[in-house]
Amino acid sequence: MAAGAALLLRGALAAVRGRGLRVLSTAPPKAKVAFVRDKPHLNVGTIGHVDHGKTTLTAAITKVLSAGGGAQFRPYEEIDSAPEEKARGITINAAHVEYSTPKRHYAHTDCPGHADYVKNMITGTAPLDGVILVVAATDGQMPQTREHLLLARQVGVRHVVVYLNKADAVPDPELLPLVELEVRELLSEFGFDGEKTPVVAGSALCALQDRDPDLGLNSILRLLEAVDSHIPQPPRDLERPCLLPIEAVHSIPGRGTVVTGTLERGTLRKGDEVELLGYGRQLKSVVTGIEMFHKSLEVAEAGDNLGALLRGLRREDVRRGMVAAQPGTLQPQQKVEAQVYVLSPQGGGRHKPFVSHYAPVMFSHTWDIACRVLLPPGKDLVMPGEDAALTLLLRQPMVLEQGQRFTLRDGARTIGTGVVAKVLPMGEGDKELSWG
Amino acid sequence: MGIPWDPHPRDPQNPIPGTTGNPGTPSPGTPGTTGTPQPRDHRDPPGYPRAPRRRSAAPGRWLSAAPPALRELRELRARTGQPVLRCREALERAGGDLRQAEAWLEAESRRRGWARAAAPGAARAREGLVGVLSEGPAAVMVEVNCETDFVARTPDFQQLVEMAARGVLGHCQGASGTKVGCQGGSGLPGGLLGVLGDEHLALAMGRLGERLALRRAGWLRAPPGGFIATYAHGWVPPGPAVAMGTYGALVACGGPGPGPPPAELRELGRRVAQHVVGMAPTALGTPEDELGGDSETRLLAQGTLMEPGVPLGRYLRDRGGLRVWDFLRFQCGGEAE
Repeated sequence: MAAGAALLLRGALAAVRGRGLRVLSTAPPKAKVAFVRDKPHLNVGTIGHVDHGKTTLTAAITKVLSAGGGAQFRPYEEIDSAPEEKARGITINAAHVEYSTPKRHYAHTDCPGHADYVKNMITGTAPLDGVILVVAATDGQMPQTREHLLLARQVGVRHVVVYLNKADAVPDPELLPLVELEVRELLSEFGFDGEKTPVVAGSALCALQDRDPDLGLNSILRLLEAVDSHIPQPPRDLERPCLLPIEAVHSIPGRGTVVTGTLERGTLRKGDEVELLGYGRQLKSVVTGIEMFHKSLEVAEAGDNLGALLRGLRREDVRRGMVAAQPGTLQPQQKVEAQVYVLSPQGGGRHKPFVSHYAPVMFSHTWDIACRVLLPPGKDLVMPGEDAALTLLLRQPMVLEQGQRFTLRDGARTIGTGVVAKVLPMGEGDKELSWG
Repeated sequence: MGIPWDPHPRDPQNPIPGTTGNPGTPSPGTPGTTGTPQPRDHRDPPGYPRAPRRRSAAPGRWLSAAPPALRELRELRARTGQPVLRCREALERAGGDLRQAEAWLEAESRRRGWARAAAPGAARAREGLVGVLSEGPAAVMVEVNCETDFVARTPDFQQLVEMAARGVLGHCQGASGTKVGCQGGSGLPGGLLGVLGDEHLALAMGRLGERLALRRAGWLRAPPGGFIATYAHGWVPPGPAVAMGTYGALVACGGPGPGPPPAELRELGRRVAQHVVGMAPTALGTPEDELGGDSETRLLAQGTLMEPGVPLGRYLRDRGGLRVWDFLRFQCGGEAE
């Protein structure tokens, strides 16, 4: 009796669900699927020789994960549209694919060349948290594999997972450990953990063609598991020390000075001590109130656009471009080494190259300041469209730290974009530089 | 070794003698027989039966108790850098003899290299390097292409560029005239192969697995008393005799009088070559030219790189009167003249 009722109920539910489905299916077909942020997000990239099956692997990953709804299957031809477009003279710098494992959501990038990866790293298009190195077991690593790993180091990747592809075409299973050993040695040579790096042998083609599940499907699952467990989660902005670039300063009669801006990272509480840095100034204060949309707030989190009331400061003490930060966590800098991508004329940049002592304006956070470009010894000019390691000397010390991104502009034109590689001490001659 | 059921013999015309290998199968590689089944490679169609295991793999233990064949295979890989499966085939054909295996690899690479050089996909090679080499009153410039800039960064490739530049220099020294701007293949007999010799090219292609091509080569000789200023621009650190980069320029120039030009003029010549790379002029112009606009293409009328307000012709006149006769500019992947 009870079972019958349950069955009936289930039937009714199914009917309702069925109707719901129909209703849904008559919805306008153009409605977009909403992105659901329910898993931590990471960026990974594939690197490897052109014929070693990076695109096949990417297609196989989407195919395997599409079975569980974690991805939309992207066939090889769709991902590999880049060469075709290249032939038509369009520069396509990266292929982007997204998928989710049960644990995480990934954006997957594949770039054709070294320069494209460096450009992506500099502009922050796809900051890579980890890399899948694809090596065909039939060939083994090649001379350019060294360049691939060198690049990974250069763009700041610390975690690599290796996929030995085409294992189905290796007639002798004893060859796989040899290829694996060679790769591990190479990883160690380039400062990666060669011993602990996961190496998964398999065949992306088998996975795509639904054959030999051990080399195909299961190898892809093993690879994804290795990526899930070996590539660590980057620290979230909330957990880092607070940083508030100041967009504007207001004087509120009867209350004091309020600075506004978007909290870049960390959290800010009422009563927190902050340090105000930039333009050669270094001030201390305490946050006595936080407001968002004219409502008082106890704790502000990274991403919040807020106003903070600061104790004991006059309006003239603070200006736009300064940064409010947790005391002792940041140091203003005047000289940095940076990786800069100089925009090509097609990308809106200059037509002409520039030489040493070129003086553009540098923009970062909410500040901008004049700076001087100093070229490394042996380099006399920088051409549009190329990336270069430059030393930048700022007119005044500003908050600038390793990994911080900035833009260089000249007049009304953006000429390049860069990322700080390291901060440098001021040299003897640097202070006497003329800024006329 | 041979796999009797392999439906796609790799190279029936060229069986290699001295084949030994899998004792379980008849040795097919006798000279003169055609249509002999050969080992397959990964380009074979899917769905073939898997090869029988000849030895049981011992994972984990294999390093210490590696069968000698594996140790030799590793050694051969380290020595030649050729793909794993090809090395294995070579060792099997040579019966485990390293030297013989190396010789076979070279022959095989040469054969494959030729095939690749002739492949229609060679146009895909757009990356690469420009190499600049000067000797006496002459200098050459070559552009060697590959498919990705990763390969351009390998020492193997850079060695190839150096050899190409030396090869072209040898070829041009016998020629007459002062300027040769020729395309790879048409102006130079045999393109990259003709310049390099096939074994180098074939081995490099085997190692790098990409199509390589000599896209163009150019040569400039200075009139008596002059010299060729050179400049290569890019990410390759300076050092080797053949300067390399993604841009290159040769400028034929000389002092105002006879006799060898002083060091300052040579440095000035280098600046002019830099200017040519940076400002991409297409014509020479005259030293009397007025300053042109942003789109000026005459070298001597362009604003100088270091002093944009002064035309290059006047700039040179004010600094000891360096004369410029001719110039040549290559941009890697750019349009040939």
